[in-house]
Amino acid sequence: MEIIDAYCGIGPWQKRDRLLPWRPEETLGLMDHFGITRALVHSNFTSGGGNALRGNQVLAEQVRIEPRFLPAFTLTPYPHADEPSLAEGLAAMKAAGSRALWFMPVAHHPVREVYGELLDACVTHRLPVLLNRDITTPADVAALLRDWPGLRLILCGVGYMEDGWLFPLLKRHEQLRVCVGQFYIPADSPHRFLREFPAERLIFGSGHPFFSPGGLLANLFYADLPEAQREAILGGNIRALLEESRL
Amino acid sequence: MNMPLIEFGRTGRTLEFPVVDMHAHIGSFAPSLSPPLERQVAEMDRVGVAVQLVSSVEGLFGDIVWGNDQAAAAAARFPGRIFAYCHVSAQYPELIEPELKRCVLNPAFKGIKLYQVGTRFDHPVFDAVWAFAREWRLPVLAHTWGGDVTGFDKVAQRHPEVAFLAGHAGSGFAYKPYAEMARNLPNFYLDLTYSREHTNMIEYFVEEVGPAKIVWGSDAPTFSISQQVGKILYARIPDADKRAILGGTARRLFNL
Repeated sequence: MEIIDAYCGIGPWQKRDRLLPWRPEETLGLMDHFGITRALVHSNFTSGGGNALRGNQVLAEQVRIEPRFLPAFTLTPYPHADEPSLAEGLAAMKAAGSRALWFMPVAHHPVREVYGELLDACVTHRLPVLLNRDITTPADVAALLRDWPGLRLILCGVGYMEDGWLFPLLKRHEQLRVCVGQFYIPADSPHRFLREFPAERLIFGSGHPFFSPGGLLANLFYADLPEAQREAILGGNIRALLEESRL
Repeated sequence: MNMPLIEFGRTGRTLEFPVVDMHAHIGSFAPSLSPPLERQVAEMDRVGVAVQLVSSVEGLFGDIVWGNDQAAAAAARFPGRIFAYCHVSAQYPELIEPELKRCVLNPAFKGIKLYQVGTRFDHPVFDAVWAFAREWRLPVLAHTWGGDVTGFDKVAQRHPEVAFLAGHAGSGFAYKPYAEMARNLPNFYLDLTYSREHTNMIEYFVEEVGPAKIVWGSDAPTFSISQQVGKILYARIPDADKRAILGGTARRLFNL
């Protein structure tokens, strides 16, 4: 079975706790321990507030060295004419083999005006878009899905008491997926989810380097599931999404 | 041949030693209703959890007497599998002694559960709790968060014969204060019940305080039992330490 961690950061970041791993070789060692074959990696530097151009550059260097890493770039819509355009950003993604976007909207910035072109491009190119729950709100997620119904959105970092808003969104928006990583581990999971939604809507991701995947893996291995569903959640679903990408 | 415990997590095989889940619940929080108790027990069976100690969620939210009744009823439904905590609150001081005296008549009650509701644990209102815990040899589990144990360490120092279990140790990634308290106080234990699983934290706790000062709980039905047990099975610590954390230490403390 190929296990793909869809929610994995690599590299340094500003406010690192000294207990947490940051070197790619540490990540690879942990992937070996947990039996993870490949990881869709984003930049810790970028998600920690650093500029995306540098974060993407580091990602591109790492994935050139290590084929087990699959890059998820972040593109920032820059305001000035002398900064890289969206077309240049997409070209850089293509050159690095990045077939998914790690979306980093700034809180309170108007989404349509600032990120509209980028999100249009993600729909056009069928790019899976990963968004961390910690930097958004349920209302903003709902607006995103309403305005871009074709967006293949993977919501990461959803908590154990969030089914109240999450399930209605899942019912209304077929392109919304949930990353089981970090702490989406409600009681009776994943069965309670799978009684209402197909396994294709769940995607395994650890939240590395902040979080460790042991509990999530055990949760899926102890679950009373058909093997095909387990394999889909643990790797097949994200692999299929990446393969469908047309960038 | 003994299979390494990580292989149980990797294959979903039922654990073959008596695992004690010392921090679980019955009942529901506001956002959605918990699965029925029989489903919780079915998950215990699938994972291999022998015993669960529960308190009532509704009790923690203030319906104290009813909550303790529900915990007793759960223990009666699943004798030998479910045991109960007697929950009391500083916000209802008039109920503290009567509830403790009422609960202790039922042998299914194995400990006392406290929650952080604004009154520090070193406030005199809790004196009856410590006296009762000492007299009846009942461990005291307290909800704590983010390294701020609101006086739980202070009372642990004053009552060395009582076992103090700090719930959600390491929550908010505040691992250092918990380790320091457990290192300094022989009767202060770390309860690893916590939704998140911070990288390297379990390994840090084991190295700093040792498995004899660490207990394991699932927080079911809030969290999945298999997820909570998995973080121990996959931890990079010796299997003997995993066995102590998953049951050995708690069996000793709760006399199970």
